[in-house]
Amino acid sequence: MSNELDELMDRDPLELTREDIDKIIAHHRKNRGLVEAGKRPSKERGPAPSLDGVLKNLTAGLPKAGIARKI
Amino acid sequence: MTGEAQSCFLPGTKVQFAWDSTSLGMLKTCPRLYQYQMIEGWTTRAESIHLRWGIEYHAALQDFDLLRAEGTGFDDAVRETISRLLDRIHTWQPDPDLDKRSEALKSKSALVQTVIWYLDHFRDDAAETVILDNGKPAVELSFRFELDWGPSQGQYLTVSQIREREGIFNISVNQPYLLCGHLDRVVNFQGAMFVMDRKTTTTTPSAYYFAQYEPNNQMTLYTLASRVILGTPIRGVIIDVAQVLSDSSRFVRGFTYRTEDQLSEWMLDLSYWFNLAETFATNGYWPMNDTACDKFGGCRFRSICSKSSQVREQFLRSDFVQQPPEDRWNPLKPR
Repeated sequence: MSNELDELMDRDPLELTREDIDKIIAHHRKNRGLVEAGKRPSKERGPAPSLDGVLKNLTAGLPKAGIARKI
Repeated sequence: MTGEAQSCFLPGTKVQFAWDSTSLGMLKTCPRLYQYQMIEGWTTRAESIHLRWGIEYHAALQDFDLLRAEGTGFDDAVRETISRLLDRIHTWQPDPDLDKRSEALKSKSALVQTVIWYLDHFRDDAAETVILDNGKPAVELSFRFELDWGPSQGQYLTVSQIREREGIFNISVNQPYLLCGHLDRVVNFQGAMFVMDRKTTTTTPSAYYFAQYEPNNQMTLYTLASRVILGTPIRGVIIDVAQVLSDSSRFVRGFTYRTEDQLSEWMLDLSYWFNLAETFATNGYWPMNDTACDKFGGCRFRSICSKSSQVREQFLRSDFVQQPPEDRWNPLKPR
């Protein structure tokens, strides 16, 4: 469902049918039910980290790369 | 917001005559914060994510309230609300700083989820939207009312002063102060009327969280405004808080009450605050309140104010964006 949900969320809203919107709502309601039952929802949310973001985090605090000495 | 609204400042001055809870809150918190944001229009990227998320959250709940007041069934109203929300946010591409939790949590998916969960959570709510005398539901009520005094730079004279000066009736009465804003909703709840305000937060809405609303500038103004608009006693504000978490949302309802005495005192204090604001504007100097820098998780301008005054402008330009006057916060812009 997660992939389908992503696809639905990305689709042009003009192309969304009543059933599509019901699927989105049902997905979130199912997640709410899971959380209320003390279980993890079926989809982590929040944007996926970009490669730039990951690299930025990995290299944070490291000295800036540069040529120290030419041989 | 549209860009054609009248300026909230007296022409050719920095004297603000139209105030809402946001601008007044900035002034009360720190005059320098007020200067940077209201007078000079500095803003950050993060602010735009939180602002847009909040605007869309409120717009969705407003759509739902209006649909329900028109008689639309619950499920149809939810579907239509989500359909409109998806339509509005389709082209929005939030670009959060993933190092900042509060920004990372404000995704489009989280927005849709929080709206659906809120509506389901309060499906059988005892709070019912008040229907106004004109038959319209009291949802997203804009208010704007004049006070009986104005900035001295506006050469404002009260009606009684004019009457005392016989023969000068033909002078123009200049701009009085205006109080403006928008109420999310006015409801009947267990036999009493309340303003309802929706908030979102990424922190825990505990008793400590709700303590911030007593006393509170915004909630007092909303109570006062609702009494003026509706001409009926309003007990206070119901605050519905949505806590946005990494994989869920939770909702807590709080209440804050205001008495007549509290409202009168707030109005008295307001005259002092407006006098101060005019003095700052006349002198072109808004002092820093350095006891407020750590409020609300830290002021966004803390990194600027901590620099030497000679280099602040430079840092402002590199870390912030200056909005053109028409895009800046303006209490007179209609929604």
